[in-house]
Amino acid sequence: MKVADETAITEITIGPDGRIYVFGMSQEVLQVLAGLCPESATLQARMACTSAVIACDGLPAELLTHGESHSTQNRQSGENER
Amino acid sequence: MSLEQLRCPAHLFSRLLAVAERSWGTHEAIERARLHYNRCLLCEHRCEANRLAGERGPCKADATARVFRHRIEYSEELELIPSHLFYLSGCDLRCVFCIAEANAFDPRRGEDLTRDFLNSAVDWGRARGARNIQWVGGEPTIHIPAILDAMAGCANLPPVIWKSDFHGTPDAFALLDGAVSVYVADLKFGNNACARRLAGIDNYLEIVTRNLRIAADQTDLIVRHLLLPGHFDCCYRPIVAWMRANLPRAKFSIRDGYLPKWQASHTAELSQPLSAHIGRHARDLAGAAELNLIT
Repeated sequence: MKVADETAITEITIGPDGRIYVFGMSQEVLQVLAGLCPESATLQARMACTSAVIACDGLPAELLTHGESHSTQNRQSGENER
Repeated sequence: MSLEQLRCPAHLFSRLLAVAERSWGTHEAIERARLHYNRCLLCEHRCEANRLAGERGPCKADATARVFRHRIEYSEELELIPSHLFYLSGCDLRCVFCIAEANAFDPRRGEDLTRDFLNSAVDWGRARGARNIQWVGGEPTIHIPAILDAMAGCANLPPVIWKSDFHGTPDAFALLDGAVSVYVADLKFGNNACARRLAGIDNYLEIVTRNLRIAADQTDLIVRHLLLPGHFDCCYRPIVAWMRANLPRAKFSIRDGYLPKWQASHTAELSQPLSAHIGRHARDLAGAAELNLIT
């Protein structure tokens, strides 16, 4: 049974409280979100991983710990079980 | 192969992978894996189904693995991205909150996983910067023979990430030894009652914690936990306590992006998103327990 090609799909859900849930985040979507939330350490750290295969090695330690929390807009790590 | 090795230059990768391939990619090893299609003992349901003869166990899978989606993702842990994820249909569990929904539970869905398919897909991923391939599902464990066969025929195989529910048998993990660079374990529940009620399985903790130890002995391990609404005290706190007592240095990843999917609306506490503050609370607790938190 064939299924729809979801290779180029990122799923985004926006909750009524402003939280944004992203599942299957592509590089392009990451760039958009990082542009919208320049204060997000987690997103900026992910952006650093887009430029080169080993980019993560050079990240400042503070970008590698925990997740961010925004007062008006949270980007949640959109991973349910699969 | 460790995560440190994952960061090696490409030429070192190739040498390391060549060594690893010799230990798992042999004809004999693949044939040993394929015996499970005659009498399946890959997961702890231990159904012994002859999948080649049309018998089906709880996963309903036959002897063909199928990929219902593959794409490069940036939502994974930082040290893994960009990761090329291969979603396989079919699963041995029945989690009511599964985000893959019907694709996870109908192993007929998707394109057949063959050597040609994987070779082409890996080339596609490499050209777009993927650092690794990652087997997800559904549940890849029920398809180990097909995956090992496909990988053995891959001329330019990147490091392999194995994202699993960890409900496999020790033999399943033995088959993966040397083939997998990093395990990503979904530690879903902190007690057996919740596992029975929400995923339909017994002896969850005994099985999964045994496998976590096996995986940690083999190679790098990331233990991932998706915070579930209403399960902080019954599941999350025991998980943190277990990790602290047993695998304090293993990488621990908290996922706080729960959304009600699949049949979650039928379970009262799972029918709504996670409260906004729970993620921070969970990280504070893990930090206090001195777990090795990663994002």
